[in-house]
Amino acid sequence: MILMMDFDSETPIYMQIKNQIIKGIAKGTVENIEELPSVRALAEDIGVNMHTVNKAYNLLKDEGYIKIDRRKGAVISLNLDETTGKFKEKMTEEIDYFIAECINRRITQEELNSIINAHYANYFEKVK
Amino acid sequence: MGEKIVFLSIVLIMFFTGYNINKLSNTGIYFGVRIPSKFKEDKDLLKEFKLYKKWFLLLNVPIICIVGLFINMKESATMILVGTIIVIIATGIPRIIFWKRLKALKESKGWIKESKNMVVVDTSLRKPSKNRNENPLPTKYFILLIIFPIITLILTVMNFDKLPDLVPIHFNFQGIADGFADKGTRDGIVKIYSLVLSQFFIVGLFIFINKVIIKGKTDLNGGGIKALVIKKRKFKRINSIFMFVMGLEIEILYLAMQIAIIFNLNIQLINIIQLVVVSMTGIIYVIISFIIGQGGKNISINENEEEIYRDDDKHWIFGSLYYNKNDMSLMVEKRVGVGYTINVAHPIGMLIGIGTILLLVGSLVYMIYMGI
Repeated sequence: MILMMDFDSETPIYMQIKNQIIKGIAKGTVENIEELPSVRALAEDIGVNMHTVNKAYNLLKDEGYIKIDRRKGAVISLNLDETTGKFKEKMTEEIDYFIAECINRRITQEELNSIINAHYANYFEKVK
Repeated sequence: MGEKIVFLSIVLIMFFTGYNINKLSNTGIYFGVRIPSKFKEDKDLLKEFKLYKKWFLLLNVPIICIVGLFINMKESATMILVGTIIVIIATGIPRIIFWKRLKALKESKGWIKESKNMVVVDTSLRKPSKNRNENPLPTKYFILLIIFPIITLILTVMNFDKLPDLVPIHFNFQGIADGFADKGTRDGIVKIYSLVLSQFFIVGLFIFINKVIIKGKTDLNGGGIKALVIKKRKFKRINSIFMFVMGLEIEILYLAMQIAIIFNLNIQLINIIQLVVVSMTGIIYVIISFIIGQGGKNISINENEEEIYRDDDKHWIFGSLYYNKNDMSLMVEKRVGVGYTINVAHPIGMLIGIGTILLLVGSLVYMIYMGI
């Protein structure tokens, strides 16, 4: 998996790490059990503090995307059932907010739908 | 005679690497300055390359000739060391001058603005690839080298009683013994086993080097991601294989030397073989490096991806000394030249750096003092 960290972005680095690993899993560029680099190795490669990587890994662990194996380190292992309910709540809330923004900005339902469809399809295209 | 072979191969390597400095630097690095690849055909840049080669020859050909003449007149270890230091400095000076010139050129052309503050990481680069031909040799191969010191150790222990009381352990280049170990003293016993100890140390050293090759930080900068990853993988593999061959060579040579000492064989022959093998290995390494380039940059791959370009000039003193406090890694890829270098800002890196300078100065002072 390729991670691209943008140091000029407003998104903090730990969030970028977390988001990109989740995107990588969705895109299928990571295999289900791929071992992630150790906290130290990833921190070295990105050039950040180990706490930053640790924070990202802990968030991923809490959400059920990875588990920390004593010998292998961080391993991708999907165990999302527990957190899906919580996620749906959060998602509904955020989608509601986005729809409000869209209505205010006169973005039509069709337009919104096509954007969503395009992004959804994006995740299934690149696997080939 | 022997010292001259060593000196000659050092001069050859320094001259060749100095002259072809940009081919032997990491991707996108010219005289230690990072240049975006779309400007690498820039007229003013090409002019600098030509000018460098001219000045390099004008400065170094006379200096190397003079140093060579001096060594020819008075061959001694001190002369060789001083000569080597002079050649290293002389071949380095043009590079530092052009490092400054290129930084000014980059500034004036505004290329610095091209930099994106982005870091790209391939999380699988440290992991073995599915394709076996892309992987560095596993560390267990290097651990197997331990057979050699064990053989040497057993041979020495078994034949210890048969050794004369005064064992010749060091020979000059004429093959005449000039160093002896007294079997009766503890100091002498340590000396007899010194080759075995070195062999064990060398196995450890090469295991460490291979670990650095496998686990060391890989900088994906100055090219397209996919192409860079393929190049880095190939580079790691070739480097690892070469290191294994080198480790094997050294271990066999040391074993041969110890056998010669134990059975009182002709040491001169082994001395010559050793020099030739070591010099040839160095030269072959430079040739391989020249072909594949630092980080595999000369391996040609169809590239049509967008270039990753992150300006990191400020972390490299004189364009070649790595000093980055925010980087936790001890070993990183060299910027100028092929192989790995230390991060001087790392506490251990700083210790190694200072230690090397002290060792060099110390041995020079010692050699002059002893009149060797």
